[in-house]
Amino acid sequence: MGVRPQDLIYDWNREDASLYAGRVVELEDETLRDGLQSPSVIDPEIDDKLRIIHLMEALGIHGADVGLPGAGQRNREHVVRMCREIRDNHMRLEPSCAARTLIVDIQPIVEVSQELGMNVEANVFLGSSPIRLYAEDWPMEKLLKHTVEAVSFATKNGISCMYVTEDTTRAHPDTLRALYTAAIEAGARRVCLADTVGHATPEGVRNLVKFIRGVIAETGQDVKIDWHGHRDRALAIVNALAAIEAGADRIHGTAIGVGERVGNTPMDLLLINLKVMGMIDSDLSRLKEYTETVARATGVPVPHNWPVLGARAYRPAGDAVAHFDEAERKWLSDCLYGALPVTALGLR
Amino acid sequence: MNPGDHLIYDWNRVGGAGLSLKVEIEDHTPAVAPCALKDRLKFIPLAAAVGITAVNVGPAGPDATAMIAAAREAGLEPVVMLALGEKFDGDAIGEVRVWASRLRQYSHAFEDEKKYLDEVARRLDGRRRKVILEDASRAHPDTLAALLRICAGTDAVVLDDSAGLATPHAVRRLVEFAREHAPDVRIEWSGHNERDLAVVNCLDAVHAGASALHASVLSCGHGPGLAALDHLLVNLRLLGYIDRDLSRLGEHVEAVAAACGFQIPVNYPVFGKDAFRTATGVHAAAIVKAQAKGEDWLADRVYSGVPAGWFGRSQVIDIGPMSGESNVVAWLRQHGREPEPDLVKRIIARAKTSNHILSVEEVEAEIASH
Repeated sequence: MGVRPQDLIYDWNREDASLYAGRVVELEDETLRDGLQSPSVIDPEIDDKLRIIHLMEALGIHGADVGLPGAGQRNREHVVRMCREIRDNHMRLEPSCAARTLIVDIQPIVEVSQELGMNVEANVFLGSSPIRLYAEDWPMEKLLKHTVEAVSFATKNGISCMYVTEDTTRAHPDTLRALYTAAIEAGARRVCLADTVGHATPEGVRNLVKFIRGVIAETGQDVKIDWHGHRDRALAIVNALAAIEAGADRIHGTAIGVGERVGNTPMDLLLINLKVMGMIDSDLSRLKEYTETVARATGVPVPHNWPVLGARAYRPAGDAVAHFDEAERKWLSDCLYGALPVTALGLR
Repeated sequence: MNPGDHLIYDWNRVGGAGLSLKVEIEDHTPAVAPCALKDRLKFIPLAAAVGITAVNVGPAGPDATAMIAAAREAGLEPVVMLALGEKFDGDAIGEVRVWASRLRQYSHAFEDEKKYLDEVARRLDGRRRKVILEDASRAHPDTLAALLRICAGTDAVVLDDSAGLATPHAVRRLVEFAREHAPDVRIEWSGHNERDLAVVNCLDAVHAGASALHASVLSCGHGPGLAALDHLLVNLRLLGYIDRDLSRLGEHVEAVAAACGFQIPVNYPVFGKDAFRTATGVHAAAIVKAQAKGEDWLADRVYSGVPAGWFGRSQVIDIGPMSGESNVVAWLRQHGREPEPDLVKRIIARAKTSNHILSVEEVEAEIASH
């Protein structure tokens, strides 16, 4: 009959394109660090971690947080092995490691970097909200001192540093301005806004990113903004999209959203959304392998109705398209009951 | 005003967010949950207990008749699903599906849109009827405008993102379009979760002027399902749009899961096993210090964006490879044990060599060997 899908579908999303015009977004995979802080995961063996690293690379993910080498011998050994794999395979994937704003945590990252002769970014984190400061009895002077010492130590030892404020979405703007300014002056060239407790709404994300862009502009430095979200309100994906819209440069996520409590922004669903929006051009044909590998290695299954990738996520058109010829049946099956071009994405 | 509100700077409310908005919810769980009628009947009073106003009972028939009676008894408005032109004289609002997108019309062999719209106009009975505009998020504005004109005089129009395509911005555009073209008709929103955006799309629909939202517990429904009613209620309360007691919401979620044979994922927001658990040293330390200050409000929020206490739950501290000594001290106290320094060191050493959170039995074994 010669009818094409575009003749039959009006896209109410299409005006969104102007919101993201010119935006280039990168992705940081936290599966092997924050993801492993889920109470239900099994810390995978190194062979599985290496498989997951290769899958991240295949999916076009830009960076990977590979652990906290300061957290123990096993963690350090795994970090070294993964960084070596990245180096020896000439991957585009850029490794990083997490650390408290303490020299004792950053020193092992410096050592890994020096041992392998490659940059391993230090993601140094510090609580920033008034509720956390009150609970911990932390004065502002202490936060600033730790911030400057940690960032300076990393940069003076030749590794790049991302400065992370925990619980940023509940932190006072004056505190954030002081901390970020100090971190940037000490050498941080990437800052991370963390919705540590999954508090934010998209409006909150936009407010926060816009404010931090202003703080960075005041410093006159070229500093990138990362967004790190959690799923506590089931808003992680939309918050990531709001962060991009507001000017974040890189988004953090984990496979099937594994992570602290109910987990992080699901990297797989973020990739699908970004692909549908035309913001990335990655080959996602190995996405299911990525989620299934992480599910098997961590012991956290993919929920049955997990969008796109769950066992019961697909809504077959079945009898509704039985009366069409084969060519039309094919494209109708892909879009009649589900909006995502899953066949074109290589997912089915 | 909560006792510690000054300890939280809420970026969500900067610039005027947090308006007072009214919203109703139509619960589709009894219509779509794959379980027996006796179980679906049990869901109805549970929906009423968390302030739901309407319940969808599925297609007309004996099951629907039983659920309509149960809904009336629970003080809920029953809604029955009807095909275009289907007669129904029972004590419920009829929800009639029409195909709003050319795609759906085409798949149902209506190649001539005008002919289809004429048929809708001819066969639509406006008496106690809602009209679901199926696949509205892929419908041409001219088609939607025509359908909205036809629907004048019905009880409500439901904009249905049947394919789970819409973004929040698109939802706002759709709802505003509908309000503009049908200013006297009540607008409702129903959306699927293909992009993991169903809950936020409901919130945006409300912001744009929708009066009611359609959802189901645990996202029951075809494929990834509808917006999760449970998460929607949590967000509406956190935004201050509703102020109702949600302490029985977990019971509702568990009843649906049990009846349908669903395993609630451990990382399912709010109601999963891990929703309020941590084994990470720095986070556990913050909770322990908050507890030490004797402030329950503080301990329930210092590391939680959703208060566990609203749902009859509490913060749990576990011991694992990423733990610090504060985890062990807290765990031992929670279990009535004295946190002797040597014992704490022994358990944390065991945890650091583990590849998982220590079970109660594993910690007890360390205590016994001490």
